[in-house]
Amino acid sequence: MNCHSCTEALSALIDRELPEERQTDVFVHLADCPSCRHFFTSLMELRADLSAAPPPRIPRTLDARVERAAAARFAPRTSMWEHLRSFWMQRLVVPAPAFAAALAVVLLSLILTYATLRQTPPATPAHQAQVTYIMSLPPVEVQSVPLPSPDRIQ
Amino acid sequence: METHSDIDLLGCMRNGESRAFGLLYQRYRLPLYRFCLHMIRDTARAEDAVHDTFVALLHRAWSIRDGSSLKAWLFQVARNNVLMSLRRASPELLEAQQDVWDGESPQTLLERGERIEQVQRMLARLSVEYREVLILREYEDLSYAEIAAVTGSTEHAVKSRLFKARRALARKLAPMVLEEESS
Repeated sequence: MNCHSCTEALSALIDRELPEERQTDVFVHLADCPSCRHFFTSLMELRADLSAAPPPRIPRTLDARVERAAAARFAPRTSMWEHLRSFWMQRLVVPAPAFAAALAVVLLSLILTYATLRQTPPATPAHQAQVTYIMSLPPVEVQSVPLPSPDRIQ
Repeated sequence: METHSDIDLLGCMRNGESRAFGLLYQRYRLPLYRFCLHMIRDTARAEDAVHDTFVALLHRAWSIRDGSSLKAWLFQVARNNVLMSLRRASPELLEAQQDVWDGESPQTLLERGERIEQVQRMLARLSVEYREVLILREYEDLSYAEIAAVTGSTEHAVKSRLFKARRALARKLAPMVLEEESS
């Protein structure tokens, strides 16, 4: 094992990611190589320095923001019936002139419909009897008649 | 309920239990905020990224496949939010980079300040693809497989990036160790 492969293996060793069968080679090389031993010490010191850093202070606003997002996500969902109920219970804001115009249109159409129905004469019993008689007649068979020649017309 | 697994809480959440979501939020708000803050380096935008991540959980909890890691899913969504935020701020940051460092070398930064603070500053100066794997590994204890799922890459790529990021940081820290030893 040379120094380059040993130093790369040392990085994996401190991460507990070096296979056991390679660990023996690394330790054998370390016993004979002061340079790699120094590198190994440097790695351990680096790890200690990195872990010695205090944890960052988490901003308070983060908790509040995530809490709001969670509240919105887990809010109880309304059923179909509640949707319909809220639809009928809601108040509509319509301007008075528009409401008056719509009401006038509805009333006028009602009046016109009523007047049209009154003008139509109702069917009398005699009229109904005529219709029934005509509908009961057998169908008339139309026979073809030869046309007269033109000289006979003259 | 506090000791329930992520999958159990996710199931309760799908059944409309808001308390399960609250527990998941309490469980993951710090890891996600720490990841977003390390990546974006701006408190307001990091907060937005975490907020959007939990909103995504609220609305897409039903789409998370059974058996998949919720932790990896959350970090994946947070990472997408982070990348969108970074892209809006400075699109050139996300271009494919050969260099481990993002911009100015931190050599000058090492000459002042304390070590831990300097390590944090150097971490912040790593380019995005190296910084994200290191944060997910060192702070959030994600496995290589989980990091690969979060970043959409392979375990081999994760292993390689972690090695390069650590080597770069260790080399920059080495002079500092020597200074401390001599003093």
